[in-house]
Amino acid sequence: MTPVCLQLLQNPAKFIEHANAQIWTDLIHQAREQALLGSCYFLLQDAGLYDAIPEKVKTHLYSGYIYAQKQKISLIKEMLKLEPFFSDAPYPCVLLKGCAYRLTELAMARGRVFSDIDILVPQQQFPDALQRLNEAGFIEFGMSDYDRRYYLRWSHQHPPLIHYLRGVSIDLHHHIYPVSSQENILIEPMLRQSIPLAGSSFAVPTKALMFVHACVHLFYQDETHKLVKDLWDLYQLYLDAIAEGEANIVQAATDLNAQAAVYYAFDVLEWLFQINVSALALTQLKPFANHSQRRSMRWLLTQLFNPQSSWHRLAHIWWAIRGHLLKMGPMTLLYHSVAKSVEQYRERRIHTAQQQQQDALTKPKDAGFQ
Amino acid sequence: MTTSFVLASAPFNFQVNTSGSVLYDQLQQLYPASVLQNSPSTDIIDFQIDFKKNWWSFSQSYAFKLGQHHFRMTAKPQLLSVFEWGLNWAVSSYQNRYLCIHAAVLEKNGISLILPAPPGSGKSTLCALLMLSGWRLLSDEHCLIDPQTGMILPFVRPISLKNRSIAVLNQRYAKNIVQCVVPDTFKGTIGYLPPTAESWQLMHQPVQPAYVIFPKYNAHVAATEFSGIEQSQLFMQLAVNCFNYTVLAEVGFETLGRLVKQVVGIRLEYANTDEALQLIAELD
Repeated sequence: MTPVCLQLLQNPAKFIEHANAQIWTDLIHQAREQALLGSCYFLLQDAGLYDAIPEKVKTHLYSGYIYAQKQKISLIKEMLKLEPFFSDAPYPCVLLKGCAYRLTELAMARGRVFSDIDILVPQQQFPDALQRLNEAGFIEFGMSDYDRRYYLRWSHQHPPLIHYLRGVSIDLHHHIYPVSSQENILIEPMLRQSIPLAGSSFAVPTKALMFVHACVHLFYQDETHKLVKDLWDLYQLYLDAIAEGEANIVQAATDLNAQAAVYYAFDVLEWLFQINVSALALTQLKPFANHSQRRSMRWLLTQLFNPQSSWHRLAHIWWAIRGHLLKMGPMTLLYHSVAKSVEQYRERRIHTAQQQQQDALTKPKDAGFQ
Repeated sequence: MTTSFVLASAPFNFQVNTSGSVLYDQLQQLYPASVLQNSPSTDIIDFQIDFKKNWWSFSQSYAFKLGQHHFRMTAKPQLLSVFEWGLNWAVSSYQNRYLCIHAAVLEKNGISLILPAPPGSGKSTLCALLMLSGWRLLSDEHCLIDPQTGMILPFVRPISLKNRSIAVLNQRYAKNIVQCVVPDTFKGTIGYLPPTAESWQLMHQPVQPAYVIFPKYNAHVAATEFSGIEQSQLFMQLAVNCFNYTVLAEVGFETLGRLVKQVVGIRLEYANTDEALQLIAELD
């Protein structure tokens, strides 16, 4: 069973034809959960089907559209504020993911929401970029010592940097994939091939590299709560990248040493969105992929999509373990699991004590005539 | 045991799943059967809410959640208050179809009143008194303006009253007119005044904005102030009382601009409640 939200994305006309009140209810709920309300709004507008949907559904899709528009304005304002701090940076500062989609004005960015600004810089210049962000008012907030060490030692980014007044969050990356991984994804081509934004200190990846990055993000990840959104992003980025030629995608995959991720992505997109991949591209990518990995991906996605499946819960757990294993390898994962459990236990005790203290101080009482 | 029910409260339908029947039993005192429905809805649901105990938790606390979005945990005695706040949170956080002003709205003979005010100004008390003197309630919390038409949509729910307001209402009208009193919430004691029958009957009927009154109860003022507010000031004061003015951006600016041109703005500071009610009754 495919989630109704994915059904709408796959074939909006057919979806509208068959939808009843319960299906529309599920759509609103799932699109809100997946942060896809605004994307669905534009999909239906582009297809000329927006006026064919019930008013109640319009209320929520339009809400998503409004929210995404607001985010677009906020992002542009934020980037303008960042510009002077990076104007003399003697290295590429590459915007990634949602921020890059929006500033490249990809059609898929319309209605799309995102939670932070992702910036990639060369590892050697990481301290300099961090310094510039600090000067711009972006600082670290409340993170445990363990989590901080985790970010710095094993991940591909600095702990989130949050603007001390505006609350905007920036992820500063030196890679697109955790350094603790046994996969050898290369980052240098992402920096070297980036395209400078006109009149800006920042650059964006090529469309082919954006797609390859999304493939890496989806197939080595451990979270499931935005799976439909990730798959929709992947398909939309594919459409943008394929317009510039399939060979570019294969070349980008080869440059980043991410052929396996792209092969699995093609496989899933063929299955869900009926894309046509040439035999040549598959021949070039297949030697890097693993047949059982491909089959397990499909099986996991099928179970994750179906809450009624008796394997649904297990698929969630397996997806998380699989993602972590790919990111860290077994020994690091074992160490991380134990250390994180101890950390969480300690934190919970401290948090509970603090909460009890606070509750005692704010004992409700009659606040007078209100 | 999970109880499922629908709150068909225009313009939004809520589907609620909760542990046990305590919440449902309390809501029956506040909502009519046409709104609080225990059968599955044939209409589209706007917000699907889980307000259940976590099966793995020893604390027996209930968690109010809209999908994965968590609002607040609560113990059983505060279930009703957290539920009502949770509905407010869902609407003020997740809908941007309408411009939403934090204000009470009432209507009588085609004349509407918008009462925006910060907590503690006596907005809900005045709203309750007006409703009990014949005004129909559109909302105690959310003034929903449709940017397309400029009309106010009703979002009828029980009026939430705090602390001494409960005694004021009970004293003035009948003992126990304020129902489901919940002590020891973080806002103090909360009680609920059910909307009048007329308010429920007209819950689908929008109204044209007419007056915006900023009420302030102040026991120390000698004379009631009932003075006009300039349009520019009115605009700014309404903007700061909006939940989603900044999110709506241009739409918000245009909607509020149109509203300000349509209405008369009034500042009301009073110690004498009857005099305040009389001044409002004389509006035409």
